[in-house]
Amino acid sequence: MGDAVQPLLALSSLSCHYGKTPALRGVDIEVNEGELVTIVGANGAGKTTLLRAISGVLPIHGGSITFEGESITKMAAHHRCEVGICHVPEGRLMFADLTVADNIYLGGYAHRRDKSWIKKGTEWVYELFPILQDKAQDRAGTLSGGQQQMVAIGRALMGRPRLLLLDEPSMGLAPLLVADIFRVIRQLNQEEGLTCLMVEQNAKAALKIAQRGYVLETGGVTLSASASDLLANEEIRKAYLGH
Amino acid sequence: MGEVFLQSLITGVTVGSAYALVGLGFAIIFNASDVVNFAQGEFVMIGAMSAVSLLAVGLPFVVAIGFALLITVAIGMMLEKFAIEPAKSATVVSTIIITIGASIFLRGAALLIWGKNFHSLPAFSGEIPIHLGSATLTPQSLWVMGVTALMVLLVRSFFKRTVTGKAILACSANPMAASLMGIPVRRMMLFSYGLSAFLGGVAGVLIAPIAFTSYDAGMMLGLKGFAAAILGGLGNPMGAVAGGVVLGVLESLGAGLISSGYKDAIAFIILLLVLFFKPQGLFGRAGSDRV
Ligand SMILES: Nc1ncnc2c1ncn2[C@@H]1O[C@H](COP(=O)(O)OP(=O)(O)O)[C@@H](O)[C@H]1O
Ligand SMILES: [Mg+2]
Repeated sequence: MGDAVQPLLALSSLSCHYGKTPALRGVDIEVNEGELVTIVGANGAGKTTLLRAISGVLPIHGGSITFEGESITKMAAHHRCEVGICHVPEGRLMFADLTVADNIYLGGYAHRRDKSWIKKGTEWVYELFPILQDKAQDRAGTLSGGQQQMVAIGRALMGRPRLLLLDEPSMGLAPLLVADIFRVIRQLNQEEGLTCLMVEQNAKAALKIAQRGYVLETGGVTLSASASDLLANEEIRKAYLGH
Repeated sequence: MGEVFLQSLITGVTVGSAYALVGLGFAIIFNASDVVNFAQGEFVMIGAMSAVSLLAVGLPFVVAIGFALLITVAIGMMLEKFAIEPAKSATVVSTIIITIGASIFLRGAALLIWGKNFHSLPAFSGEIPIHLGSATLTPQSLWVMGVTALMVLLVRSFFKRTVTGKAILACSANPMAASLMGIPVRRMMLFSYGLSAFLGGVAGVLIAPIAFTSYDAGMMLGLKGFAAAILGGLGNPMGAVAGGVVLGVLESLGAGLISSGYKDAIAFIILLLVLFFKPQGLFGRAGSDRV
C-alpha cells in the first residue's frame, strides 16, 4: 500500500494497563481498507486488551487511535459502534436469556431507527447462518458453542461494520465448526470487502485467510509481515504453528 | 368465618398490589445492576407526600398526581446520577449500602419538608363501597388493583416488545457486550431507576387514600416490597408481582383470622422462611423466564 492511502484504523503507541501492570506497551498497528489483518500471540499477550481498547470498553493510558483519519481516542464505546467499529468479543458474550432473534436485533441498536437496514441486515445474517433462522426464537444461552459464535458474528454484522474486530472466533469449537467460521470470515472479507482485524491463537488457520499479520508478545508488537511470510517464518512456526 | 376470609382477601389483594409495585421496582433495578435498592420504599413516600402537597397548594387532582410522579422519577434518576454512578467501581455490597444511605437521607429530607404529621389523599372516585355479601370493596381498592394490573402489563410488554426494554435486559445480561453493541449502559441504568421510581410513586398515590402516609412510611413499604421480591425470586419481575399479592393476602388473612398485632410480623416470618428454605423464591430466580 502506498503512502497516499490512509489506513482505516491506525493505533499509535497505544498503551494500557490493569492497575499498575502494563498489558500493552506502545503498540503501533495499521489496518487498511479491505484488509484482513490478524494478530497472533500467546495466551496473555494482550490481544483481547488490544481489541477492547479499540472498541473503547477499556480505558487506555497513552497513545492514540485513529479511525478513517479522525481521532477516536476519547470517543465513548457506544459511539464507536455508531461509526462502524463492531466487535465479536472473546467468549461470545451472549445475552443468554434473550432469544437469538433479539440478540441479533440488539446488534443493530445503533441503527435501530433505520428500519430498512434492520430488515436487510437481519436477512444478511440469516443468509450467512441459515441455522440461526431455525433457532431464532430459542434462548441464545441454549445454543451450542458454534451456533453462539454465529450469533456473536451476526450481532456484530448488524452494527453495519466498517471494521470488524474478531476475538478468537475459533475458541472452544470443534475443528469442523472452526473451518465453517473461518470460511464465513474469509467470505465476508473477500466477497463483501469487509475490513477485519482478527485475533487468534489458532495462528495457522488465521494466517491462511489473512493478508497481513502482527505478532504480539507481552504487550508489544515484535514482528509485522505479510501472512505468507509469517507462515514461512521458522521462529513463528516453532512458537505458534506447532512445528 | 367465610366473610372474614373474603374481606381479608379483598384487603390483602389491595395492599398486596402496592407491595407488588414496590417489588417490581426492586426487581427492575436488581436485574439491571444486581443491586438491591433500599431507597425503593422512599419513592412510594415521595410520590404520596408530593401529591398531598401539590393538591394542598390548589392544583387539580390529576395535575397534582402527574407532577408528583414526575418529581418521584426525577428523584429516582438523581439517585442514580449522583449517588450510584459516581460509585460505579464500587462493589455491589457498597452500592447497596449507598442506597441505604440514600434512603436515610431522603427520609430526613422528607421530615424537614413535611414534618412528622400523617397525611392522606382523597379517594380517586368517591367512597361508596360495593357490597359483596357482608364484605365490602371500596372504589379505591378497585383503582389500586386495576392500575397495578395495568402497570404490570405495561412493564411486561415494555421488556418484551420495545428496543429500550430489550436493551436494558441486555445490559443486565452482559454490560460489556451491550456496550459493544452501541447500547449506552449508563443511560439504561438511569432509565431503570426512573422506571422503578415511577412504579414506587404510582404505588404511593394509589395507596395514600387507604393508608396514611408520613415521612417514614417508605421504610415499612420498602421492606414489604423487598419481601415480595424475595418471595417471587429476586430479579424475577413477574415473580415479585405475584409475591406482593401473596404477601398482602397472607398478611391480611393472618390479621383477620389470628390478630392484627401479628400483621407485620407475618411478612417477616414469611421472608425468613423463604430465605431459609427456598432462597431462589417461590417462582424461581431470574433465568429461564425473566419477564
Ligand atoms: N481484567 C483484568 N485485570 C487484570 N489483569 C488483566 C485483566 N485482563 C487481562 N489481564 C492481564 O493482561 C494481560 C493481557 O491479557 P489479555 O489481553 O486477555 O491477553 P490475551 O487476549 O492475549 O490472552 C494478561 O497478563 C492478563 O493476565
Ligand atoms: Mg484473549
